Amino acid sequence: MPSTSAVAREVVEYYKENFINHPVGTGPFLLPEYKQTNKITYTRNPKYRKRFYPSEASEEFIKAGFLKDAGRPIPMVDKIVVTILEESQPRWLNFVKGNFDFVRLEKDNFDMVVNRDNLQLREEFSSKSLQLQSLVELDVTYMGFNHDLELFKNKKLRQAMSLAFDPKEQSKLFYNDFGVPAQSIVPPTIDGSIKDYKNPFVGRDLEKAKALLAEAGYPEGKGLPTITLDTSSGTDHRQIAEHFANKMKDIGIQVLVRQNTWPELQNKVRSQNFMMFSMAWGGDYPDAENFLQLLYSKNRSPGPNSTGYSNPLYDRLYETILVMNDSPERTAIYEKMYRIAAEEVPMIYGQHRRYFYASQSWLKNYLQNDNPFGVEVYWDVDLAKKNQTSK
Amino acid sequence: MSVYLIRRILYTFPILLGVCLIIFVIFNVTAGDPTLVLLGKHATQEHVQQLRSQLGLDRSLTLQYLDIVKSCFTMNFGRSWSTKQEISSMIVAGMRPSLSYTLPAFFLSIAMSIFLSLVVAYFRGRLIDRLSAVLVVAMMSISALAYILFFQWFLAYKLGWFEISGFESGFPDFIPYIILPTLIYIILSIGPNLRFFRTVILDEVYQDYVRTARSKGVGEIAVMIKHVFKNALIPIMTYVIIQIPFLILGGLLIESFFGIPGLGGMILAAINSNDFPVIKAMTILSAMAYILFSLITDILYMVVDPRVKLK
Repeated sequence: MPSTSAVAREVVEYYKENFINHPVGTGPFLLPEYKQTNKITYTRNPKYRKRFYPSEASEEFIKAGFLKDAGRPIPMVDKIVVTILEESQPRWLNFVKGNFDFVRLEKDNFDMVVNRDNLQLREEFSSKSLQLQSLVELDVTYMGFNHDLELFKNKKLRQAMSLAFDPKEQSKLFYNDFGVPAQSIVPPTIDGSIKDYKNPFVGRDLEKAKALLAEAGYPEGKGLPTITLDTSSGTDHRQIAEHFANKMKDIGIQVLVRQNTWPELQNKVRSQNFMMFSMAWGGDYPDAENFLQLLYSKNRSPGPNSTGYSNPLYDRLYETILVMNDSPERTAIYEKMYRIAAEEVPMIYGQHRRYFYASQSWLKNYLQNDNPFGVEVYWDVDLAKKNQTSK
Repeated sequence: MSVYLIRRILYTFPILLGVCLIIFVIFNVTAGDPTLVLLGKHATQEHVQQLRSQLGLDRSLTLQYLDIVKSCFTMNFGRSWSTKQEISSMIVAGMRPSLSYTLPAFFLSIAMSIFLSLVVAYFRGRLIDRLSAVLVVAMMSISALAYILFFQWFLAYKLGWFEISGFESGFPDFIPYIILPTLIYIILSIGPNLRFFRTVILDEVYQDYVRTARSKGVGEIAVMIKHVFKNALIPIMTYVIIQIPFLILGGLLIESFFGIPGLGGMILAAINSNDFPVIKAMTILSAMAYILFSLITDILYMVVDPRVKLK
């Protein structure tokens, strides 16, 4: 878990702020080449302690052949080279040529590679024995309200805005149609999210939105000030914000999109100097608490609760789970908080982003997961297959 | 000449101060406080204060401006926010990969452009001249991105003639990786070069001294090389020398697409990650290099044309 990695105190003291460029540890790999923006090479650490490939797994993994290497010493490969390429074309071409073992598929070449009807690789690529995996990321995108403003203490207004928003269309336009519209704050892949839960205030329902807006005291948006939505610079961010503004127009709410440099946006958000802002939260660790903390009132800015949302019941539940171990009781409280976070609409939920990964058939034990730290020790390359395929 | 040189060097100071002021306004005044970005999601008020003080952001604006001016003379630009490395060492490390393809590409492109411009000027008004004009305009109308995307896909991927991307340090390991970027660089620069060189050469072709040379019976090829080209050298030299600083900077797109760890890619990565100290350093260096090479151009005028006196 990178947010809690142990580092050697002497190294930090010696290298000071430059210690990141001189990693010292006891891990499975050495780092002979470390060009952060270009290429990172790992080689097997000959002094690494004895560890072995797991011998137990769930039925699903056994069936998928993940236990074939059970009991073998890890790490299994001698060298891993991470190539950092900003552009998607050379990444993809290198992958198809067999120079890279796996890549994440980008929007630009997705349709060329994957058949949307069945989400399988197209013939041209499946015949090359390439493999496809998809993963719903441990994240959530959202539009946050400033709860310090009297305007957004009006729950019905927040609910009306959420119902006017169209997360499905957002996914189609900006996330390759594979985003999972978020029902609440916790991603669907971890405990704490409620399976098949449908947030009554997520999904476009203009009639209901208009009715709620009227109940909120703003029939057809009359009497509402123009709402400013702060977003980051960049075309995608602007388009996402403009899409939101257009949806709000349909119920008579005027939203003005304001682009900011990333530091400016951070400053505005942290100093509560905004009406609404657009952002995403990426999980630090696979536990619902990491997402639920975003709505705990004592975490307000500069802490992670950037909206300033405050709810005494939610706070009590959060304080309860903080001292609990993983258990069905804790999960039940998570779910209670999940419902509050959904129905109170403290923010307008966007997507849990979903990405597709293609890998070569010779890459063994490769599985994308939402906490992919340390999995490299299990990877192996079937050299015979690689040579045969390359021919 | 020495008086001229001293005066020119002194002129550079107010220019540098102005450049520093613009950089200061852009990065220190309008860009906002970077501390929250640097500290990430789990910043506390205490950490914010600590980092602000560490970065010198709690000092007066005048002192912050003077820091930028000082960095022009000490070449100490601090550390990158994203890689935490000394920026000066990053620049030194990035220069070699950039120059490894821009330098050969530059010289080849200039040599080819001069040769071709002499040829088209020799055949001025004829089919070959007209065809070259059309071809040059067509080449210049296509964006650099289109050349990169197409050549990388067709020549490197489809035909397998070149490496798709990558770079190895050390001679001759890097050579397979720079051939395609060099080729693209030449194609991108040959159009504007040829157009410009042809124009300045044609300006000379109709001068009186050329007519005199011809009337004395000097052959057309000798006229072109000994008389026309020599006199066209001043504008050509200005054009060529001023491009040299940009060779060091490399090509932003080329390095990004070919994974060359040069300064162009470094700037792009810095822009993408809001790494202001790196962007600031590169802006200062570009301005300084531009000033320096303008001065060199002036001095070289005198070498090429003895009539020029630098006072």
